[in-house]
Amino acid sequence: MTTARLASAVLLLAAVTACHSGPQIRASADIIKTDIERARRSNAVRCAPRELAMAEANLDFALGELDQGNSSRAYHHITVAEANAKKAVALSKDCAPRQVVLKEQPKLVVKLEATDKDGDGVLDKDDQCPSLPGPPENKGCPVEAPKDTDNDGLPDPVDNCPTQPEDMDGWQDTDGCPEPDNDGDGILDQADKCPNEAGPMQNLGCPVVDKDGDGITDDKDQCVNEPEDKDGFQDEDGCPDLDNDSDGVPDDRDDCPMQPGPADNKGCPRQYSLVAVTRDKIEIKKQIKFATGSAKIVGAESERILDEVAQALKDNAQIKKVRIEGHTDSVGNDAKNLKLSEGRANSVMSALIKRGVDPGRMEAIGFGETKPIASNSTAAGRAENRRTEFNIVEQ
Amino acid sequence: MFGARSSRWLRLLAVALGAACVVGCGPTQSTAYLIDAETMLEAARTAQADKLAPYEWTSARLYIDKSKEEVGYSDFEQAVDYAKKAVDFATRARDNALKASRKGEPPPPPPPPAP
Repeated sequence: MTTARLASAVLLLAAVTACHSGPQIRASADIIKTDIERARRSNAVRCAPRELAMAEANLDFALGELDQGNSSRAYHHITVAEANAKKAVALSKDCAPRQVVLKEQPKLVVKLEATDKDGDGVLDKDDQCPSLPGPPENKGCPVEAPKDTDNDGLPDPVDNCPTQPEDMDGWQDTDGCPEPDNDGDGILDQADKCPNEAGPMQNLGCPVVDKDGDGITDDKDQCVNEPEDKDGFQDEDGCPDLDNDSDGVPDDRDDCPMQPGPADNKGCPRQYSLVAVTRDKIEIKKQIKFATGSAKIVGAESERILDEVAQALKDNAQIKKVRIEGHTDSVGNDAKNLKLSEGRANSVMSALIKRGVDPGRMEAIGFGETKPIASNSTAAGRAENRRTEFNIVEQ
Repeated sequence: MFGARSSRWLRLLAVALGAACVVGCGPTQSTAYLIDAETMLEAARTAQADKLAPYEWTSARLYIDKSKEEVGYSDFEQAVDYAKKAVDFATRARDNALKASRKGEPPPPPPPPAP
């Protein structure tokens, strides 16, 4: 009985061992490998990562155990691997990455066309002169060059004057005809300073221009780039006169542009009661009085006259220099009279300096009795000769 | 230079060293690789590889367990192989998990394992 049991057990063990034979397990492993690859292609790493890992690892373990000769452990692993491989395949069925369809590129077609090297419209294969342009009627070869009778470089067929050579001076040089007077101003180009612009002989054939547009042509305009202001004062010279009376007040702000006057009087001459400014002198209506035989100025009226002379000089800046002249009558010694007149002229100049007149604008001279303006034989004449004058010498 | 007695002792020492190496290298190596694998797996866990790189994470764990099992059977050579694979999977698990957490998307699928 015991022997029978033992035999049964041995038989059962043998059966179990036979079921887990190495080749069988390896065959299963191959199938599982295929499943695993399928699952991988279906992106099982993303959709069934644990199952895939279980399948792969257990497959590896099974093969390892087989190599060690442990078929029962190998069988256990192969079972786990198989189950997980199937799960991985099932779970990743709809997990495959989207397929990208690449369109087939159209094929590049290169067409070789007939060439025309000289560009004359005759294809090289029909062109007897493929490097030289020529008409089709001449089979692509150039026809014989036409004549140029006048040798001006323009063939006769295109030369309007085939027997007269073109002058090639840059003026209508393509018509073949010479132009001896390009601008047609009657002055031959050889003598014309401006052969391509018409102008009178007086201006050497150049056009008379008025660059500043003031109506005065440049040949007469002293200021070709500045237009004349046409204000009735020296309008012929072409130069603008912005301060006609030179009083320092510009004409556009000068109420009296032709008469000098101070700025505070709008450029108009101030009205004085005792003096008058004329073109060449400052006239005094009454004489400055001096003490007898002396250079000392006396009298309130003399002071007022000096006040107005000083004011006139200040108001008329255009007066650059005035000469203060002292004159006497003929009574007395000539030398003394001369000295006295000098002293009196100097006194007047000092008085004006005191009143603020620039000394550089004045000079004082005594003429004594040498320049009388009336007869010294009468009292009235002598009174006229005793005088002080303010003559403008520079303005 | 050496006498006959000394020569016999030297031969015995060499044989003893060789035997020690054959017996002792396997467990030492497998243990070292297992420690590495465990360390890497811990690092992967910190990087949340169990959620962000489940394929590599599961593989690493399986190989560690199998390596330990082989140590139990005293099959140290196999244990070392599995431990190396475990280190490799754990390393990839951590890297992929870090990449995924940085990009906020799952990492690209890894190449198929070497046969």
